[in-house]
Amino acid sequence: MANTRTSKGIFAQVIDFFASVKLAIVILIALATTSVIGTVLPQGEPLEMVVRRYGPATARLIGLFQLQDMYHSWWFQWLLLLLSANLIVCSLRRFSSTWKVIQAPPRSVSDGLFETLPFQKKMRLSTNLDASRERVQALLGKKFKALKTLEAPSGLAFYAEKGRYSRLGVFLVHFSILVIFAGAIAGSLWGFKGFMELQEGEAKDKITIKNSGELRPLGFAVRCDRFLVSFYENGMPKEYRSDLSILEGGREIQKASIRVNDPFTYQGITFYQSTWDRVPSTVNLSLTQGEQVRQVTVAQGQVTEISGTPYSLSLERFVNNLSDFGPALGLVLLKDRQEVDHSWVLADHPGFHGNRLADFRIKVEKMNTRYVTGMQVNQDPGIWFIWVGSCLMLLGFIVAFYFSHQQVWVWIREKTDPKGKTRVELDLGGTAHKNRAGFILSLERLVNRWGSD
Amino acid sequence: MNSSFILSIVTFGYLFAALAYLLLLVFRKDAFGRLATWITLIVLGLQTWAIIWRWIESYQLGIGHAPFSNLYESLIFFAWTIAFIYLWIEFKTGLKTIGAFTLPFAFLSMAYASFSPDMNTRIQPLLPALKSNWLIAHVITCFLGYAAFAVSCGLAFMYLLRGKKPEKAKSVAGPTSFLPEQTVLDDLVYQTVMVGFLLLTVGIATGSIWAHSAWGTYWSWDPKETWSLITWLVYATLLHARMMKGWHGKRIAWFSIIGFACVLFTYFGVNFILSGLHSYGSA
Repeated sequence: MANTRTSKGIFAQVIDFFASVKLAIVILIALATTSVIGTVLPQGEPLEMVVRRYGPATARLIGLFQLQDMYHSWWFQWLLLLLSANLIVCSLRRFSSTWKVIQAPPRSVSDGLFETLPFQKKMRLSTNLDASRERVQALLGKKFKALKTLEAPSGLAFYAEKGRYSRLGVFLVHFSILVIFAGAIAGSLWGFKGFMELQEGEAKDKITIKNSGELRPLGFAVRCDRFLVSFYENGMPKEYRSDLSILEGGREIQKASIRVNDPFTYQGITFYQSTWDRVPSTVNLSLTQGEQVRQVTVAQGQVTEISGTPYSLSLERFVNNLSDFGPALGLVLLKDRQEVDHSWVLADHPGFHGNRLADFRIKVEKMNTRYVTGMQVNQDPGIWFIWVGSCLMLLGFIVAFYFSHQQVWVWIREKTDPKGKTRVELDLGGTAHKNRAGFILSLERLVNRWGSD
Repeated sequence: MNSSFILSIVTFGYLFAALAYLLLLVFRKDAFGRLATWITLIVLGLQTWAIIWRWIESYQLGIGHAPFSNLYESLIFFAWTIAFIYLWIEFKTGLKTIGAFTLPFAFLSMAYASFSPDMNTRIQPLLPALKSNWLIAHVITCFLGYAAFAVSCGLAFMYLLRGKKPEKAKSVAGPTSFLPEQTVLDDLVYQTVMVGFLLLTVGIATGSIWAHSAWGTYWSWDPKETWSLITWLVYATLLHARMMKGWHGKRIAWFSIIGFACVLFTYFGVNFILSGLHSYGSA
């Protein structure tokens, strides 16, 4: 028997530990202080980068505690798990006793009751019992909705209360945090974050998942019909917009436009305007060799023969802004499929000395560009948990902060003093489960008003 | 004349208001109190007008947007929220001496906006990511929350200065004995933290709705977000210590000051020391 008692004791101790406010405070402080690390150390960098930046010894320490990605590290997740356990155990333990209080009928009046109440006042009344009762009702009726008549050993007794269910506010707050956690977990288990780049006119049915780089089929295809970028007069970007078409089995199902701050959702998958780029579809070049000028049109990824010569040109790369010199083409000159020369050719600086391949001077006559839109493509089945949890939390805060369960007892008795004279005596007492000082103050004001009229 | 000119008057207005409250504290003449309240009311009205005017000016420039888009505009709004919340408390409690400890924050915020040499005071168009009504809700709630925390911090300083001098010694003691009683201050520190905590929570929630519509993630652990969470956790700890462990007085006062230090780091430190999505301070 002794053995089971100790094991029960250990179990109770474990429960006590998880339910304690002390643990809650320790976890909150631990979360706050450790979170600082991730705002100082760069997050999401590969370990090789960390080694280069901090040296191997420090990097080993950083790697051990996953500080380069600390918000997803094992120990941070454990802290969050511990917080959840603390919330659940503490709430379950308190809930039954709170529920009992909520369900309980008001305590009956006695001299002992008034002694335990944080606010108590004894008054002598000049009016008789019935008139006194009317005055009590008139006075308390302003603050409390209904006065309930209690059974009393003698005289008359009333009870009034409000905000009984406000005792549940704190549970709502704690529950809302769990709802938000559930949303975050659901999002990371069954959702994905991906990326998709589309040239104007191009269609794709797969996205690239972030971090892993894995390709994931969407179950439908997306085509970018048009990308638009507009600027303010001072050159700041004003709007990015992609006009998209959803295709299923090659058939166009739906059209949609996305902007920054204005995403589009299809079959639970949301497309966000994220980045953009511009690539040349074709470029018209003029090649000067001595006195002879030739016109050539090149396209990215294609090899174009330069007529009348044994050479051909390949447009290997394009960048929108090369070292602040504007758009540049990475051109390769070939002869018999062998590279002869290569160079960056600056489109906006025709006089640049590097615009030359072997003995050809190269000038960009016209660039026919095509936009590329970069879209973040996400699915997050937990998102509504986050929004519902946030709303519940706010509701919970308002209830927990600004409402309290206020109770008032009144007992009116006729008493006979030693001289044999009968007078009416009133006991008034009250309590509130929160902000007692404020409640006592408001009752004092109420009683003072009584005295004055 | 434009809105910037009025805003520079407002800067000095808050300085004078704070000085008038200080005079009330030193000389204990009600006239100073009345003067201080009137100055604050007029300056707040003037500032409200200037903010609305700046809003109109942005529409006249053809780039209309609410004036909550860069560091300059946020500092001005911060000062506005501090004065607003302070006046609200003054009308609720009638305790005017609090002004001497809270309006200096409003003045400092305005002074920083007006006199910092590398402050960009021009009205600029909004980047596509900032075009969202959630952004307006986010900024308003965050700064009202920050202001409540600023007022709470001022009250905490008052509490610590007040000491436990008995009321009777009023006539011989220094100006600190003219301050409200410690129990009153203690309660106000706590009440303002609750207001701030509620608003900060709304601010974080609206911010995450905005982030979700702009970038597709409601939480990305960028330094600003993380520091707002750290601030939230510090005040959550304060509330648990107060409600469940009965902490009060000095401990809560210091807690409130530490909390406000976190607010300041979230607001300024992250912009100037750390980097992230919110780093408008470097512009």
